[in-house]
Amino acid sequence: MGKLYLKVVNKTFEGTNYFFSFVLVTFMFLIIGSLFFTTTPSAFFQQISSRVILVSIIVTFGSSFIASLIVFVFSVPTAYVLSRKTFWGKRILETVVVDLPLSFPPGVDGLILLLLLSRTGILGKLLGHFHIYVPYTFAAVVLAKLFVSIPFMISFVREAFDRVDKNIENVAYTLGASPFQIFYKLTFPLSIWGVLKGLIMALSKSLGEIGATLILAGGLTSSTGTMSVLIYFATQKGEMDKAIALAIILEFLTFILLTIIKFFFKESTHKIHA
Amino acid sequence: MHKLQLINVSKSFGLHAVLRNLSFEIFSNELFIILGSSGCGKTTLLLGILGLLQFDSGQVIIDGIDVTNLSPGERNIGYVPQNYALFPNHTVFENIAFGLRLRKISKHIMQTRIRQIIDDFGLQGLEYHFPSQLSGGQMQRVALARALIIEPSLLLLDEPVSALDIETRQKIKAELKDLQKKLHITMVYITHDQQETLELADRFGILNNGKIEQFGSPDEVFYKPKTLFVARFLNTENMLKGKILHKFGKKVTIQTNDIILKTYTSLELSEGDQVTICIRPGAIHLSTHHIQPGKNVFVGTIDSIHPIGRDLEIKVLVTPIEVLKTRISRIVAKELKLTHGMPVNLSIDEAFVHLIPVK
Repeated sequence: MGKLYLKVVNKTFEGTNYFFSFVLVTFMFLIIGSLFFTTTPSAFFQQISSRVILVSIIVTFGSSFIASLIVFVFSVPTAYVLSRKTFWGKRILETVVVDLPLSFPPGVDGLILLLLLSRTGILGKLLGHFHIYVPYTFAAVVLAKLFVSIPFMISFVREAFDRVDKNIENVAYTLGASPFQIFYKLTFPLSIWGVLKGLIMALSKSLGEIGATLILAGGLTSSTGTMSVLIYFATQKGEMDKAIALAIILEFLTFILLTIIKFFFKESTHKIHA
Repeated sequence: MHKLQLINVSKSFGLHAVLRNLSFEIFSNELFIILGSSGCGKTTLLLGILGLLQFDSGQVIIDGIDVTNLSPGERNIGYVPQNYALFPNHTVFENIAFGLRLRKISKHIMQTRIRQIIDDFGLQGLEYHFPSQLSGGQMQRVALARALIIEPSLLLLDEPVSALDIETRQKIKAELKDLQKKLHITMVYITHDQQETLELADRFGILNNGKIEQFGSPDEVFYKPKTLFVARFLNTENMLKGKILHKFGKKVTIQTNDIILKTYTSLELSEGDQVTICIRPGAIHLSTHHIQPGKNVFVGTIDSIHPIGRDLEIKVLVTPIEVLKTRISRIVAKELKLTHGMPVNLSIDEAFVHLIPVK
């Protein structure tokens, strides 16, 4: 009786797991695939050859690329400090540069940036003296993407630096290497896959960013209309072919980036730790 | 001549004192081992000597020069960490060349020295291999070659064989000892393994609670522990409580619960003083034949027989409450046909009955 009961419980447990997994996977496929079934190839190609969409692709890529470059420049030193140094206020720095931006909804990020950079904001006033006005410009798009993606990049790079064996650096010190020599000969090359993974994640986050961009940059002009923002406006106006075409491109790009991370970086990580 | 001197070094982390006014010297060309259990401060001591961590106070002197305020690179110490820490993105050749490249040595001299050390360490054919392609033994030889090529004043090794399998460990230990004798290099070796210490050390020190409990040669410390901690740490098998019955010059007679032992000691002891008696099993001779009654001779019965590695540990009840442990090889035990409850005779060499005063 006891054995039969256990067998039934185990079978039910396994069956339940499979059932819920199957429902979820089917649902996800339906969501992802629905985009392709709700448009036609001719409608798709007609849309992506329109000037508005082409400009939005350029704006999205241009701003994401610039944002990722800036993110890279700021993240690597910050992540190195967080990984290697112990100092008073380290936890505060971590909270400010990683945890808070990660936990805020992008809309809140956009609002904070807007308040800071508006003509009456602290930074806005300062920049106003130099006749620089950031909100609702291409720079605002870059800034919004940067603000949203930088905590991801810092987290990934820091983790990559943390994974480098401290003994490797200690040995290099005893052999006479300076901290800079150790960084460029050992720490950075050994963390390169983590850095690149972080960069791709930041790029992927930047490409799809909408909340902060919409609030800080508006998206109504050609220089601020990113693909995600355009999807939002298109759906508001009922221009579904346009929205679907943009969504398919974004979905395709995200898929490519995720594939790179999933397969290429997984292999590379194995090689490093072998 | 002293190769390394530590004078009153201390280190605390917050309120926790890890090293307390530690002072010791290491002589040229000796293999000195710092033995201690986990968390006793071994790694802190090692990092402090290397300059990778600053002591709160005290001095580190190498070859008579105060290096306390010098950077790790300026101290000229070779370092082999526990996991060897080979640079995974560099080939064997580049790993070995790392220190020389930083010293801006001419390409020709560098190539010659690297070729020489590669030959010396039997690494031919592996020059362009990456660390992930090497065996444990090969990795260790590369780590040693990388540390030695800069011609360091001394070599620090942090548990260098603990990550290896038993067979490779034995081989590497022998190689290390040979290397140290051949190159006349001063080695400071850190480990928690007492077997390794007894096999390799010229001298060693036992680190406990931030202080060195005892220095000496393996024989000295193993057979003559100065403190109860050392006796227990080195697993002194027979530790009996007793008191001094008679003392005449260096000759003493000690009374335990039920037996009387005789030995020599240079300790300042008086009649009636409490002592702990330490006897290694190797100093207790077991026989099934009758032994002439005399000093430190006891008759007892076998209480238990336990295999310990290649030997057997025999517990002998010499009185209803006093047990002495001895060890004999399995072959001898077989010849003597030892069994539980069998009467045997024990004789203990006076020279190996060691006393620790009870404070």
